[in-house]
Amino acid sequence: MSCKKIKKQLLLFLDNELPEALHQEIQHHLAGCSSCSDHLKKVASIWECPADVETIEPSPWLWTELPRSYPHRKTGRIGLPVSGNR
Amino acid sequence: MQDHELIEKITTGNATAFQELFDRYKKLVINVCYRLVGNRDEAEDLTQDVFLKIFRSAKHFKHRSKVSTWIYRIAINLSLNHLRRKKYQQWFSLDDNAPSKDSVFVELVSTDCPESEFNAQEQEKIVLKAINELPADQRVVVMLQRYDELSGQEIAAIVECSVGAVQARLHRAKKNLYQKLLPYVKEI
Repeated sequence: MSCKKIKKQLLLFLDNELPEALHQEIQHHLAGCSSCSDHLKKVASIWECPADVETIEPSPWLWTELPRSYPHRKTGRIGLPVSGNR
Repeated sequence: MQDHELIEKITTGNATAFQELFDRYKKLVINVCYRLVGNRDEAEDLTQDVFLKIFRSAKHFKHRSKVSTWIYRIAINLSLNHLRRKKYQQWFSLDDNAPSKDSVFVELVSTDCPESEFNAQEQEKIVLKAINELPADQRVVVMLQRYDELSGQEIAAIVECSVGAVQARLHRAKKNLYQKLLPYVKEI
C-alpha cells in the first residue's frame, strides 16, 4: 500500500477501527517507513490529545425559566397555570 | 428512582419526577446542544426546548430504548433542526453571517497562527472545528464517540440505524477529518 493511502487511514488506525489485516499491514508499513511513522506521531499529537473540550454548566435560572405549561411547582401538577392553584 | 419510573410519573403529572429528570440530564443535554450549535445562549434555549419536548412526549415514550438514548435523540434532532433553520435564515440576512461573539467556533477560527504553541485544549478546538465542518450525519456520530464515549451500539440506538451504518459513517468522517486536519499537522 502506498504512503498516501496509509496516511488517509491514520485516524482509523489510531482509533483501532480498521479490520485486523489492514491494521497489521499499516503497522508493518509504519515500522519500515520513517516518513509515515513521523507523520503518524504528528497526527496522533492532535487527534489523541485529551478530549477535554469545554463543557458548560446550565444556568441556575434554566429550570425557573421553563414555560408555565411545565410542572407547576406549587401544586406539583403538570400543566396547571400559575393562577390555577386554588 | 430509575429513569423509566420517572417517565411514568411525568405522564401522570408528577412535577417532582420531572424536576428530577431535568436535574439528571440538564448537563448532558446542554453540552450535546452546545457542541452541535457552538453557542451557549442557543444551547440554553435548545435545552429548554428539549425538556419541553420530553414533557410533551413522555406519554408516547414506548420504553423500548433507554431513556438516555431517547433524550440524546431529541437533543440532537432539535439542535440539527435549529442549525438548518439558522442556515436558511442566513441566506436572507447577510448581516447575520458573522458568528456570534460567544461561539466556540469563533475562538477556533481565530487560532490561525500556525507557529504558536498549541496546548492540548487548543488542539482539541482544532479537532472540534474540523468535526463541525463535517456533514451532519458524520458530525453526530463522531461527537457521540469522541466526547460522550458511546459505543457503536449506543450510537446506533440514538441515530436509529444499524451498527454497520454507524461504522461506515465513522470511517467516512475520519477520512474527511484527516484531510481537514492535514494543514495543522503540516505546521507541527
